[in-house]
Amino acid sequence: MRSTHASTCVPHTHVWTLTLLGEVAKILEGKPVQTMANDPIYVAFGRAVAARRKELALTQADLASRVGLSRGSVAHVERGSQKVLLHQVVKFAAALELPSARMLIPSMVVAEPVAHAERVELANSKERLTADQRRLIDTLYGSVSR
Amino acid sequence: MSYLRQRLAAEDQAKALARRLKVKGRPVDVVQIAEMLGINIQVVPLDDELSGMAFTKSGSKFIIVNAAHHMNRRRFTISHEIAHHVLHSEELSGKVHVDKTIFARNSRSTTGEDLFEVEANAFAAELLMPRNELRKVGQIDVNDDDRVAQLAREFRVSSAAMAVRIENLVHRNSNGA
Repeated sequence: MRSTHASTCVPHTHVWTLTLLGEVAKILEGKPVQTMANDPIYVAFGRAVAARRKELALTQADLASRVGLSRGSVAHVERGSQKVLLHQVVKFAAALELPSARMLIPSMVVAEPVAHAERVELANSKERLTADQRRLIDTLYGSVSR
Repeated sequence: MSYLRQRLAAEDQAKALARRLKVKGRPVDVVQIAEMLGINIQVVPLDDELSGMAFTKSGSKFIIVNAAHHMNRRRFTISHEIAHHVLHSEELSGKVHVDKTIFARNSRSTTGEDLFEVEANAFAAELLMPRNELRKVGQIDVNDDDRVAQLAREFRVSSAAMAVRIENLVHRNSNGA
């Protein structure tokens, strides 16, 4: 029970540490490396792209031809190791048959604090949330409408 | 404390809802169920550890679900949040219910950590994997990974959720409950 719980709670920084150790190993083996840890915004964007692509049963190559990138680039984008430009975000949304590019944009961007966002009371106070998560929830609550 | 009685009651509520809405076959269309209940679903990329949210705003019901999660997981999250709207609307009024990683397994119920979550998981499991539908399938060995994966695909749920469901059904039957 305890170990299961711990494994779900590993902070992202630990994962990155491991990733970086892996990169060091690559340097030692003389392989090409990616020098920077992936920016969480692009990782989140990439995950959303990959999840939607799989939902549509598209391969990375299918998606690549729809957005006009190479398959390798799409793989990098999905991993969060390649940054995308705004027009590409729009292309990805269209290629993934989404009504709005917003559905691919990570919440930390969508949820830029709005001045009039209502402060909301959380029902489940036992769930520990970070300050960022609370801000996001406030903003989402403030911005939703039918 | 496993809240067995409360779990079964929550399952019965899900079954009654499915009957009322004339939900048939598999996979169950949980988005349509939400629509029929007047619940608005918004798919938004969230931090990986957040699964979904349920709340009411200006009289409208909302579910927010993490766009970055796999479709099968989103289906469970949506069902879980529908459960909160159906079972816990009074307790949640004026509040936003946020679900971090939703456990489709027993760990949470055995710790008795949160009755609402236990009930919502039981309701979601019955909605997505109705007991009567699974009964038609016959005996299932929970250790037969291929069989569990195949059923998970049929019901469009994760293999983990299906395995827990099968275990719970066996448990319930052997209890004579």
